[in-house]
Amino acid sequence: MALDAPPAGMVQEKAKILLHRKIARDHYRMQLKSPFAARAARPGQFIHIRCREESPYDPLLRRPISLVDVDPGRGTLDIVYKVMGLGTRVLAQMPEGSKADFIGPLGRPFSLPPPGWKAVLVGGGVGIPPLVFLAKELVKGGGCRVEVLLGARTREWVICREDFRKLGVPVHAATDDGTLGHKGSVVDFLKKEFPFTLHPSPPTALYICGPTPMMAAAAALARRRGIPAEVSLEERMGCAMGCCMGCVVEVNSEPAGAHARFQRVCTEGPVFPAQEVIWK
Amino acid sequence: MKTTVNLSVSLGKLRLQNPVLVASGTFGYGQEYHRLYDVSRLGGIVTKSISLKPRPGNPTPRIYETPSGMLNAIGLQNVGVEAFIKAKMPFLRKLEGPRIIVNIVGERIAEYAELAKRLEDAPGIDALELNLSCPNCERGGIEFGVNPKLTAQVVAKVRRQTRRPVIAKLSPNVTDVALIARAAAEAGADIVSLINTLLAVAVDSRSWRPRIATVTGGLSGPAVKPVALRMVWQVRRALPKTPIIGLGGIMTAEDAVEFLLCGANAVQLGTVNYVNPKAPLEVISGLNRYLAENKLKRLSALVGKLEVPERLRGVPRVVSG
Repeated sequence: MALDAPPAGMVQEKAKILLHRKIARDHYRMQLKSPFAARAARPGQFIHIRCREESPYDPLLRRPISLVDVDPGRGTLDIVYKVMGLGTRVLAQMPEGSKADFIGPLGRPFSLPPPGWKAVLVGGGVGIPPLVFLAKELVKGGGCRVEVLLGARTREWVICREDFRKLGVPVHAATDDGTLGHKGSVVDFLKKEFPFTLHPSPPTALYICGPTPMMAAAAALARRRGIPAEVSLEERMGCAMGCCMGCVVEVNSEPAGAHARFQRVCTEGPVFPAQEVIWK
Repeated sequence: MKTTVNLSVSLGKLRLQNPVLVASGTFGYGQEYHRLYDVSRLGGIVTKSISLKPRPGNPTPRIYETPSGMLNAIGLQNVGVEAFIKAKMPFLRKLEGPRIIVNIVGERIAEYAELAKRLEDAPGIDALELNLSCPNCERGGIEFGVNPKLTAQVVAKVRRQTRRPVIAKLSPNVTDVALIARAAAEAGADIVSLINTLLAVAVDSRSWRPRIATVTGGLSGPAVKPVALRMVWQVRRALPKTPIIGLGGIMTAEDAVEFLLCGANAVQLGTVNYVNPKAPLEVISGLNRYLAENKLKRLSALVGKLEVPERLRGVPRVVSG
């Protein structure tokens, strides 16, 4: 699977917040009005959103949040995020009708499989939302089967189930506490329920987004079975424009010498071929 | 009646269309932010630090947010001077408005000199800025910029290799920044810029680990502005004639005015580029407005005009270090 080139179009814009709702404990969904960004965005991309605009500038930096859905017709983009710290806590206070300053869409999107392939989407916790956008694009394009495996600590955090159901794609769940679906990790479930043969038929691609240990385990499984896989990484970001070199990840392909050993999650990512990432 | 204002400023031989530059390491090589706005409106672009050879940079995590600030330890990841000239300069050369200032860094004095020599024939470069906050591998890893003699040696060696204006970027991690500034100016620096980041540590109390892989990092953002203003004021008192570029936590035009009042002739915007990419344009228009509202015709009417008690005016007595 060769990676698609990142689209050039992006904006910095103060966008009206059309919707801002709690969807689960600690999880929020926000819808922004931005016709340009809605047209330009691809699955796997993110926006860099400002949480507080005035002194004392705390939190200072923006927060990168991936897109769960876009509607080019209505000119809207949706994000889902989990309150993790100061930035997302402040973000959660923004009222509907107010404006949010964002930059986007940013980053390299997922590459879509050729027709006739099967796409298995594996999401964990707050890594689930970008897979909704991907599933929508795959269903829209037709020609490839989509299956979704979702995991989280508990039932309530297996978010976005309804979004997948609306798309009509089969969804399997795994929870650590057994409150929904298989009891245990989503990767164990993947191993059990998808006993992929080496180079399966129909040819299959894995798309993985979730906590690092989960992505590392799923990437290892994909490698053993010879299945192409893409992961969407998360890192603390400074600029998200490719300048600060703060969000880098170590990769094992060396396309252009020593300085390229560390690739920027904001620019060369957030989507990477799973086999390129050196898991820490 | 609207006052006609003029934002152009001369730092010795270096003439800028306005006093707003973007700081090294926060703006890549210009092209990145050109996707969001027309960067030819800037007063100047200072490139990310360039070294002789490509550098992979530090292990991760490299950045961490702190109250009103951020810590970074990138480790000078860059493409190296040859790739810079070939791949990055063509875009910068095309920009007619802003002055292009190449920031250079070395682990040995000779590397700075060699970089200056290599860049001397490259067209489109208006000045060199010396990143003196790099550990000196010939002297046990001490930063050049914390020692007046090392600072003077780097400046003098570069001075011999270039006809272009040389800007010494000063480290704030020193006892007496004016002493270092004077050493740089006497060795031939045309301009000083300050401050670079403040050496700092952030800790995770749960894991007992530092937040940055290299333990220490450089603190920047609004949190450091008062320190930067103090140092600009000290250097202005010590060196009444030397052009100063002030930086450290500038977010707004009002912040820039504060730096001018303390004695800066121009400013650089750094961390704010991450927070609000369009801040440089907002600072330019804000300065225009500030001059018009205060019926001032030129920026120079602000430079060094901080009102201080009589006994604190003029050049302070030098206590040699």
